Parts: sequence; structure tokens; C-alpha cells
Amino acid sequence: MNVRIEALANELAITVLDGVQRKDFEEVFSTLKGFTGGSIKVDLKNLQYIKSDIIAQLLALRRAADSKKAALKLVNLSDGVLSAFETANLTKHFTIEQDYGSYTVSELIELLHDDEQAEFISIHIGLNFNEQYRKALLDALKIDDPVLNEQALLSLGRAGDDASIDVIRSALASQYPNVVCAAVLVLGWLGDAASKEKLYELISSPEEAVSEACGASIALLSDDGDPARLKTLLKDSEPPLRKVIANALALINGGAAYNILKEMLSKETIDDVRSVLVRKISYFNNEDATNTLIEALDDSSRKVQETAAAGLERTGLRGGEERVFKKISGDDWVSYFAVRALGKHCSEKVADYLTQRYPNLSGKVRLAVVEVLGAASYCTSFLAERLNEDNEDIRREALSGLYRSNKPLAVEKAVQLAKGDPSWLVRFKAVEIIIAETPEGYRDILAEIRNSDANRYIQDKIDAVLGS
Amino acid sequence: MLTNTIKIKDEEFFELKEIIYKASAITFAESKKYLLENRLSKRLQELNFNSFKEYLYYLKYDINRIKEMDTLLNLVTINETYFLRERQQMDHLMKSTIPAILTRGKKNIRIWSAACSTGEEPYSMAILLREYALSTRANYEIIGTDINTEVVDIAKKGVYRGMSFRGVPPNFQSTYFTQNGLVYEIKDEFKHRVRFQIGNLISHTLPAQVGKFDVIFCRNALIYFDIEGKQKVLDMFYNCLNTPGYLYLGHSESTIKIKSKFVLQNFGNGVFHIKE
Repeated sequence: MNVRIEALANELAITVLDGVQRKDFEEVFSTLKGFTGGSIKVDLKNLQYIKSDIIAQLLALRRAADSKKAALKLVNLSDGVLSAFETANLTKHFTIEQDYGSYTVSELIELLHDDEQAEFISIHIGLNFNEQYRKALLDALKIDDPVLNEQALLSLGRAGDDASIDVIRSALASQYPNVVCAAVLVLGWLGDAASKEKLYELISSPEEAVSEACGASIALLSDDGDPARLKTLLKDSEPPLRKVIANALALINGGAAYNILKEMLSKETIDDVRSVLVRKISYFNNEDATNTLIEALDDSSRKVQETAAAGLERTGLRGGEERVFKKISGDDWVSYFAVRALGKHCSEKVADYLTQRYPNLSGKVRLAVVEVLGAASYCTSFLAERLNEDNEDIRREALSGLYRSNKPLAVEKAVQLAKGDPSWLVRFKAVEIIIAETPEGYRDILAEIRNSDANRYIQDKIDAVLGS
Repeated sequence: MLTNTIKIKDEEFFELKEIIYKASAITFAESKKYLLENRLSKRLQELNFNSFKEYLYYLKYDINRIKEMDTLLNLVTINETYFLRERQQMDHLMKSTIPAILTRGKKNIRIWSAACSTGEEPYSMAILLREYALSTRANYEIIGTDINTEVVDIAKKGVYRGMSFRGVPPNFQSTYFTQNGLVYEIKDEFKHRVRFQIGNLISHTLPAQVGKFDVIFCRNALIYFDIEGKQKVLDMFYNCLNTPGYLYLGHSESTIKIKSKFVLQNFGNGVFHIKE
């Protein structure tokens, strides 16, 4: 029989094996008759694809579970099986989950090869770490398989396994850059200060990922002397290394790191690196950082200007509004970010300014204005007018803003827009508001929309409330 | 690995999914939301964006939006692969299918690797043709196509790192590649046998660009298409095959709900599709 059944106290655990046939389910249904527990788990990990008659059996099982008021869930669906469920439009009829606890240690180690699942598995191993996992991971490190080696190292790191520190250190000598990179990161996570010298050697690696990882790990292991030591590496350095150092300094943070970053910015001639430096400066919470960003709005490089404006959204303007006002013009990203930075503390003065400028702006900058004014309680009429604009994103943003500032009006408009707006993006937002606010008769409203709206996202959203 | 992941909201996910679908017919199930977050977060940060909403505005309104669509598709369509992956199908091609084609007296055999990623699959075929002593028995033309412009560039160079060789037999690298430090370059004999080009499987012009084939390999790509997309691609494959023609799909790929003119045949642990 190609189905394994295990009746636990409150759960019926069914594992479907490769080669399963329709008749194999007879035993399942027979066991289910005497089952009084609350949940049924069907593990499909052994199937790479699924035939339609087996899907039919699972549907029958769902009905049987419903009749017993037991919760049925399907776990560990491969891409092939999931794709079959999606193709048959059945995903919403089942609770589908990943359950790595159903796998043996060796199965999980093998699955680390799957780049889409590796991180989740590694986290699972980290959370459930024991001697068995340690042995399996250390064995995996002995195999000449860079993908497996990398994931094994990251798993040991996530488990915080200090006992494996020597093995992890030795991986710094691997011929594979991805393995070295993983070892570098893990040594940083484990706080292995003894490896710091080695990381300083590797930070100049031509392998960008290794160099970046060294910068991050040095920051994690840093003490007061590291900002100055990183500065010494700047002499005759290439642009990629300067970016790595900028990142490390931003992670270290503190006054010494900030001063070095500012000095780097003043000397840097490459636009791309200057942009990185400006971004890193925006992670410092001080007035000088804000002023530095405001000055960078006048940089010769558009890219740097954009980064500075985006950074100001992070730091706030600290009284620099007037200088930022001047930067807002037609339709560019500097203006977009500048508007958003202004919106961080949208005073009435800022709101008035933006409202007046709005007709002269265009594209995404208008969108930013609507978004910013949507967060201010005194712009209701401005937002309501925007619901008539041609641009679907402006209408959607205006509706979101109204919802924040004037819920009753937003609900009234949402009902109208959900039924009649030409854009599904606006209708979707309107339906979200109706569902969240449940106005009188909302179920009838939703049913009416469900019957007339062909958009599948809107249909699914409503089905989740009304039932399909 | 060092990038903070930016979370995507439901409505942003749906909108981005629609944009990708319109350009490529590739669909992302809700369960793959994390994949978009993981693959796009670094790009968003490069553009100074803190949310997917801003990135959507970029894709819709920026002057560079057309170029950005290429970048987006490149980021979301990267599929990691390696030499001799799912080897049983390739062995079946060498042991049964190609000998059967040769028996019919065919002297020019064309093979299409229709989602070739970084080129390991078509180069594996070129290598196996030699291992199975088939390479001198006909003229072979192997074409590799992929929607992703970056992977096609890598494939054309034919230079690989250790990650591409997991599970290959001993001496595989030393026999067919020239080592240069940490990388391995495929030898010219095999490199010249494979031609690469960019190819979107739902493009109407693709069949005219690639021509007719005796064998098509398209593994682990259809899984990303919805029924309509799968149907289009399978119909296109059918039209691009000579008669008889052979199609190999990934072992986990379902053709449920697809009307196919192909005849399905089993071999050992796998299946292939024949145009009779």
C-alpha cells in the first residue's frame, strides 16, 4: 500500500508515497471512520507530480474531514503537485503548508540543494538543532559540493553552534567563493573575534560577495579600533572595496565611523560610490547627517541627488523644509523623494505648499503628494477631488488617504468605486475598505460586486469573506 | 545574502504578478511571494526604494521602464541549474531517441534546449553526444534559448564555477573543460556545437527565429506558466517539431487540463512526449 497512516492522539497523519493508487485511499477512509481527533495531516513530500484521480481522493477526504469537523491540511507539496492544484483552481479549498518536521534529517540535508527552500530548511534546522543535525551538517561539509557546504555552514551558524567553530574557520580556505562567503558570515554571527585578522585579509578579495561578507562580519566583531583600521584600507582602494568599507562603517555606526564616511564623501569622485556613501550617511541619526544629505541634493550626479532625497525621508528634515521645497519640480525621483521627505512631518504649511504646487507637478510626484496629504487629516476635500483623476494610482492613493483621514467618507466612496471604477487596482482597494469597515448591508454589496466583477483577485478577496 | 528583505503587500504582489505575467506569461503563486521579495529587494534598494509600491511606480511611469522590465524579468527568471541535471532523460535521448532518428537515415539533427538558463543543459547534450559515440554519426545543431538576457550571456561564454558541477562523474571537468583558476571553460569542440539566443516562449516570433527541431528539451520552465500559457507553449513546441519529434519536460511538470496532441510514452522512471 502506498499510503502510510499513523493515528496520534489528536491527529491522523497520512503520508502518501510515490506510486499511490486510488484504491490506497480505502484504508484512509476506513481509519477515518473511527477517528475522533481534531486534525488530519496529509504529507505529500514523496510526490513529484499528482494524478487527477488522487486529487479527487483528497477532495473526498476533505469532505469527510469536514463532516467530522476535523481540520485537514496538506503539507510539503512539491512544485509539480502545487502547480497541479493551482491549475485545477483548488488551492483555496485546502490548507496548504510546509512542514519540515515531517522530513528525516537526511531528507532535509538533501533538500538543502533546493535554492528556493534552502533558507527555510536552514532556519528549521537552526531552531531544532541537536546532535543528529550537527553530525549530518558536519558530514555535509566533508563532501565536495559547494551548494551543500554553503547551506551546511549557514545552518550551523543559525543554530549558533560554537562547538563547530574550527570546522567553520577551516571553510575560509575553501576554493569555492560561496562557501568562503558563508563561513565569513557565520563567524560574524558567532562572534568569533579570533577570525577577525583573517577577515581583514579576505576583505580585499576580488570576489565581491566575499568582500561584502567580510565588511559585515568585521562590523559585527568590531571594537573601538575598527573604524580607523577600515580607514587605512581606503588608500589606493578600488570602488567596490570603498563601498564595502562604507557599509561596514554604517553598520558599526557611532561618531568615529560617521566622520570617516563624511571624509570619504568629500573626496569621492565616482558617482556610484558617492551614492552609496550618501545612503549610508542617512542611517546616522544626527543633525549633521541631515545637513549633509540636504547639501547632497545639489550634487552633480542625479543618482546622488535621488539617494540624498530618499535618505531625507529616513532622517527627517529637521527644519530644512525651505531648501527641500526648491527641489520639487515636474516629474523626477528627486522631487518624488523630496515630497515624501516633507511628508514625514506634514505640517499645515507643508500641506498648503504641496496643495498649491500640485497642478504644476506630474506623474509620480503627484502620486507622492497625494500619498503625503493622505496622511494629513486636513486634506479631505483635496483627496476627494483626486478620485476623479484619470490616473488609476492617484485614485487608489486618494482613496487610501481618505480612509486614513475620513473613514465614513472613504466607505461611501469605496462602495461607489468598487462597483464602477474602470481600474481593478482601485476596485481592489475599495473592496478592502468595505471588508475592513463592514458598512450596513456589506455582504449584499460584496455579493453584487462578486457577481459582476471578472477580476480574480477581487473575486478571491470577496470569496474569503463570503465563502466560495 | 546581505540585503534586508523588503516585504511585499498583497495588492503590490498582485499588481507585480500581473505585470510579469503580461510580459512573459510566467505566473507566481501566492506561495512564491517570498521569491519575489528575495530576488527583488536588492534591486529596490539600489533604486532607493523602501517599498514595492515605489518599484511599481518605477515600472509604470519612469522613463527607463522598458529597460527595467528586462531587469525585472532577468531577476525573476533565474533558475539555477547544473551539468547532467536529471540525467535519465538525457541518457534516454542518447540511448534511444537519437539512435531511432539515425535509423531513419536522418543526417542533420536539431535539438532545442528551450529554457537553457546558463547553458549547462545544452552543453551537457553536446558532451553526451561524444560520450555515446554519436557525435560523428550526424550533423548536430543544438540551440539554447532563454528569456533571461543575463543567463544567455553567461551561456555564450561557457565559463562555469564549481556550483555547476555537483554530482558529475569524476574527470568530467578535466575531460571537457579547461580550468582557469576557480573557473572552468568548456572546450571549443563543445562550445561550437551549441548556439544561444534570447527567446521568450510566448513570443509569436520565436518559432520563426529558431526553426524546426527533432528534439526539444524544456524542463522546469512550464511549471511557471498558467494553463493558458502552458497550452500556448506546448502548441508552439508541437508546431516546431518535425515528425516524428520528441519533447522532454521536467519530471515534475504537470500537463493536467492541457489539450495536447503529443503521445505520452514512459521509459524507466520518466516520460517523454512524441509528435507522431
